[in-house]
Amino acid sequence: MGRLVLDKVRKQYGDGVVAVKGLDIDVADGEFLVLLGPSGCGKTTALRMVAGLEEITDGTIELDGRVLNDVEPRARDVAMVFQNYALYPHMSVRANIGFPLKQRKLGKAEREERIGAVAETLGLVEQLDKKPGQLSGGQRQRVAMGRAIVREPSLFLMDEPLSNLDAKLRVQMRIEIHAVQRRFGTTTLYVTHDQVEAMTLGDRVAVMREGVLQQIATPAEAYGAPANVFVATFLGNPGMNLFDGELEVDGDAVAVRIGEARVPLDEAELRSQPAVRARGGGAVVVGVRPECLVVPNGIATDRGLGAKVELTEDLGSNVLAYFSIPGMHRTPVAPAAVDGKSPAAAGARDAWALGRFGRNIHFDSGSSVRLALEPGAMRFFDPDSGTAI
Amino acid sequence: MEAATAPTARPGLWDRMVERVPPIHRSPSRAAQIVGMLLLAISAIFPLLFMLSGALRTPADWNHSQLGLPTTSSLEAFTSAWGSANIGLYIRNSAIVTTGTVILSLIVAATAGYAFSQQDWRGKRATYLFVLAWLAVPPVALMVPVYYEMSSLGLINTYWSVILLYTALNTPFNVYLMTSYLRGLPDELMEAARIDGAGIHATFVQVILPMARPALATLAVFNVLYAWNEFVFALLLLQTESVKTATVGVLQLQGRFSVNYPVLVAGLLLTSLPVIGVYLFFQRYLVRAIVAGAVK
Repeated sequence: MGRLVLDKVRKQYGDGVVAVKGLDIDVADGEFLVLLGPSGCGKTTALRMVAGLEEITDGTIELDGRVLNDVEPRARDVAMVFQNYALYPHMSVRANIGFPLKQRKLGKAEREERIGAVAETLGLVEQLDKKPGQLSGGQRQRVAMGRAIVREPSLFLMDEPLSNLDAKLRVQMRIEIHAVQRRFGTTTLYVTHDQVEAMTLGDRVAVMREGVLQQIATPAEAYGAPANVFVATFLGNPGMNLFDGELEVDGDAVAVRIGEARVPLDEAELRSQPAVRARGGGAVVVGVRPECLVVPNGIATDRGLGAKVELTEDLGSNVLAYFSIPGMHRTPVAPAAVDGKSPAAAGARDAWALGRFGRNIHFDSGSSVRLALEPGAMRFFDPDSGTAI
Repeated sequence: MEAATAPTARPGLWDRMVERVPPIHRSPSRAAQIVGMLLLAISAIFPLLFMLSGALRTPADWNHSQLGLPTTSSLEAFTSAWGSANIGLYIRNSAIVTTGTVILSLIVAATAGYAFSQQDWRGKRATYLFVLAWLAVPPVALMVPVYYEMSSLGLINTYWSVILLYTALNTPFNVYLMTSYLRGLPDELMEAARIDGAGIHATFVQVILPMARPALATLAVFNVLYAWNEFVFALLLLQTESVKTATVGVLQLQGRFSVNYPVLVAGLLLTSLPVIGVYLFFQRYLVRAIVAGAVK
């Protein structure tokens, strides 16, 4: 059992900084929920409040109906995996994994049995008598997992557990974490700023920004139908293209003008965003995922944009291409504004759109092309509030 | 005719030595550094050698020369120092005082360091500053009040007088060093222990203390050196023969009108040996404490 409910949870530090602003999250028993957001968005603070390492300024945290606000960390029935593993360096792997059991005064025989079972599951049998300093990064990560699993807690808390590993090991450990969580079925709250981890691990993803929950949804929903321009640009690498558009409603027909192009909305777009037609016209922000810009290959389409190739980046597996579109101005909410290190920083220049294409496509810089929009590609946002229409 | 082959000259000792020095170290500045360090090493070892060579002399040989190598080699000075001046008793007393001081100091430093570095409590900062402020007080200024206090407590001529005093005098530095060291430990370890179910005491005993070993060893060495070598308060508080420590007791070898120098330096050497041994034993921990955290 392990249903976790955060109700209007707020955290204000002594210096007046509010790190978490009224967080409402309901994590079902056995669910894997990922808290995702950029540095300083409050996700780790939220996790530490659940662990009992930070006091809660306001609101309540409940685990299986029991209010945890004033419960000591050790009495919360939660286990935590830290970013830097936090293994006890002077203890063997066996003692590290057995530490929580020893604190609970479990008999030696039972301790050994449970340590053995966990070591078997995580492939640590050979390492049991080694010290953490003698282990590789991946093995240390497994020991940290083992120490969490061995207690059979109601809730796993994981604070960026993969961020200290190299890229290859990260993929491997990601798969292992997923497998372990599925096997034990323990409710998990997982904090990361890595959207690939969030998309692959989470049953649902909670995107945070500046202490405020932006959207909580399945990874596919959050990616395909972002709740606002922040989620749209934060999820995806590169993030969603955002164009200034002008909505034109003429009876049943709805179209949007992007620069000099006029693109009719298709059935999927109108069905999934009924408020767009009801808006009756006016300025909107149009979002299009880079992979939804395609080359029509001679097939006539009325959902197209004339574009000029400005720059291409060959990533090996695919090609990123930056286009200028006649008469189009990019909205100020550019990926570069969200994440200064975004590879799409070049796309922040005025009137450039970014597309991602298969590796067999070649563009000549300066050439003119016609791009088509995939069915259902366009998402619409309010230009003032930035929220989805 | 046989072709004469020029014999290959075997490289000289100097050349062979130079060959063993990596090229990067063959610069004049490196040579100057090595000479400087040699001088430092000699200046450190010279007093010991002086005592050893002096102790091996007869009084006649001492009067002839103090600096050269001894022309005689006699252990008479050692037996005389050991027998006539109770050196064995003084060393035992010093060992008791030093052991007591070190144990008490480490307990105080470790618990106080834990409280100052890892726990939150009202008045922590003010208390810490108060403890540190005692670093600025010269111990000699405390002689009269300490004597008065110890005599009113009935502790004059007991080991406890100096054990308590030495611990108190060293506490500000000990607590400062321990607090700094423990502050450097990753917070996550303490947090992990809290979540894993350990209370304040279990965290201290099972997590903090084992990780503080390098700092504890460093403090042990400092406190051993201090307690063993302290003279002024030992002279003041330990006046009867049965409790005198080595630094005070060895003075007995200095007569009022004449001094038998070989016996005096033999006594000094005997009283120095235990502390040199302790230093050599703990040296590796000292080095470890100094480089701790330098590498991941």
